[in-house]
Amino acid sequence: MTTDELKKNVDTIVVVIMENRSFDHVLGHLRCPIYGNRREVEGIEDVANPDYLNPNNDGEGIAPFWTADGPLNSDLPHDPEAVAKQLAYSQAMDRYFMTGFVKAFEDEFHTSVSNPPVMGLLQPDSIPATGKLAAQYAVCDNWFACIPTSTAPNRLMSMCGFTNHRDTGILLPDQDTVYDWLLKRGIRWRVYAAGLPFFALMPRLSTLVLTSHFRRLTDLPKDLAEERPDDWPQVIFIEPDYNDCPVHLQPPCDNHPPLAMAPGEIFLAQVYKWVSSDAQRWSRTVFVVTYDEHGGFFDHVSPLRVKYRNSAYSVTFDSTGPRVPAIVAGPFAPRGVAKEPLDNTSTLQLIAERFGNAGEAYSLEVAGRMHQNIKSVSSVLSVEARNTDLCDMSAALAKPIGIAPPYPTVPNNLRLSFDHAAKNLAAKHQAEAFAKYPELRAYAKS
Amino acid sequence: MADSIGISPRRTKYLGPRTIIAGFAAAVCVLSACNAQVKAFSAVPRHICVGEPVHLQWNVVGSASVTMTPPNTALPDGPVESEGQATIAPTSRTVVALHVTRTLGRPTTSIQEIEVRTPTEKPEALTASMGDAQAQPGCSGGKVWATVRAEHFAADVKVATVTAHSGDGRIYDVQHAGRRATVAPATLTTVFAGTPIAGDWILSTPLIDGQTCATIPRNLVVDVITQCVPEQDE
Repeated sequence: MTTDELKKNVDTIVVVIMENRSFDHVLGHLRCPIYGNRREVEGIEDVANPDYLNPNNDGEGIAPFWTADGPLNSDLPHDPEAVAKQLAYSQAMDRYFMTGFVKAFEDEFHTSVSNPPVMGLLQPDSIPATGKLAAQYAVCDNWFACIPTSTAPNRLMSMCGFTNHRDTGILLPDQDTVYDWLLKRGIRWRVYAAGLPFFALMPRLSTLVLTSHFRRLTDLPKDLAEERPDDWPQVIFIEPDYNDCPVHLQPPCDNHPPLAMAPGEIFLAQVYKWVSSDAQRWSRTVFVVTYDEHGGFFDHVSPLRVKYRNSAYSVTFDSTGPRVPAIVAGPFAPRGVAKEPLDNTSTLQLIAERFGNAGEAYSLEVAGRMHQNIKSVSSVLSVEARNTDLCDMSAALAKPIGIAPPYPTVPNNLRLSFDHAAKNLAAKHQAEAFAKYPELRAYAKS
Repeated sequence: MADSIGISPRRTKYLGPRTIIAGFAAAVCVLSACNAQVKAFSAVPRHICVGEPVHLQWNVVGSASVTMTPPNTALPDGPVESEGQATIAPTSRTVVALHVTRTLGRPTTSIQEIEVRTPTEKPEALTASMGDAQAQPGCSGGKVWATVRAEHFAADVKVATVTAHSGDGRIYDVQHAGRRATVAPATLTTVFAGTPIAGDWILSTPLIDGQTCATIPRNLVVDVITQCVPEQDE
């Protein structure tokens, strides 16, 4: 879709970023003859392919295996050192072999099992909502996590186009976000969050989080029903309730291990149902669902050689992270598979094309990725698509979670960050914070 | 100024010793992230013949307990020291779970799965990744090579036959335990029969037509069928 076509046809861009799953883990089955048999998808045709073996520390090759959704015993390794091990880059051969997932898991968790969860591939029944979207819209099988590291830097890349942190630390560094970009240009935007918003972790934004730009997800249907088109946001970010956040507004649903996928699938089905419920608005909407990073799960495709250099903060990477599941939905999303090289800054490119000035790149950093061949989401869209049929999410919404509540989350930097942010909101902005998030009151007392 | 750093006498109140201890522990906990931690946990060997001894060793931060499936009388389920060791002799596949908790932290679990060889076992896919520096991979002169380091196999787990991996049509030159053989698809090599599977396996294979060092498959793999042969029976 050209910029002119975007400006003429698209009023609203909706972005959902889930947590920590790889493309093969969630959508790899689409290629397999016993499941989707979609040969156009770069997925897993045969788990017995010797190229997919990942040796363990005993010298045994561990093949990927089909599995059902469920809570895991733990999070999986995805800090920068673990991801480097997973990518198995050989300097001598200048190639990423994608064969270090099992060793990274064994080394970090002192665990040796015949079916390590990092090699698990979900069967179609495990993803009733994502599966519907994948069947109806554009599956992006060449969409990568921006950088080969953990959640916070990848979320910063997704929402800022750059990161001043190499790994997930305590809180987020204060840096310009897409919210600032939109505010400066007078673009209407909003965040609907099922839990505490992720950017509550950025100290500079703690007051912004308490404004009407940030709303609870449960406000979405009411806003959809009552707001005039001229008030309706042009860019909407929808966030799950994060498993690592100790304050929950609803059961966590971000898909971050050890959490199962089932709550996230219900979240996704509900969000899609709401966003697509107003035919007029939906006819001019682009709906993007992606993940921040792969979370330690196996993916067989080598990362793109997109360099990231932030010398002021010593953040340097020579490639993207592994692929993540990504679906572009809406009337302009052709049914099928999109092969364009994309990452989470592709959404920022789309926002700049639609809402920026003529010829304006989102930022120098994002332009740098464009020059390294990262495309915009607009490259997936087509005015000819006319993909107006809606997915029936009733089965996904009716499916009982049927899975034990999430395991307690081991304290990690992200959890400590959320803890800090929640207490900060309660302490410094008590009246507004408790009014908006009454759940904070009990947590602050604890 | 005192108010701003929270030591105002006006705010002073009596804190019982339990409160003080808990508060101190919480502060330490926040500073240290306070997660229960497994520093080391191993089962050696991890691949055994029926009834062979397996040495378990662990070192954790926090309170440790062990559960085994199936249970094993040599190390009953329950609390163990934070640093310890034990020897068990499983007769079937056994999953040893080491659980660690801390008073103010969250639990964590590490697992060692002990495989007990059976006569009908599936082939062992010994695998060397070309991206693993420890495998000392190389490619030049029209061939590619790497070394599988087969570890944690009991000495009685011996090789019966070797063949090319299912789905891998390459012909390998294989060196192991001082012996050497060509291993081709659909043929069972008995040259290594009776040698322990543990140890280095040096695999080498020629590049096939049209292949370059930049396009070689990711792994070198041979399938090894094992058998249990006690030392005294040899």
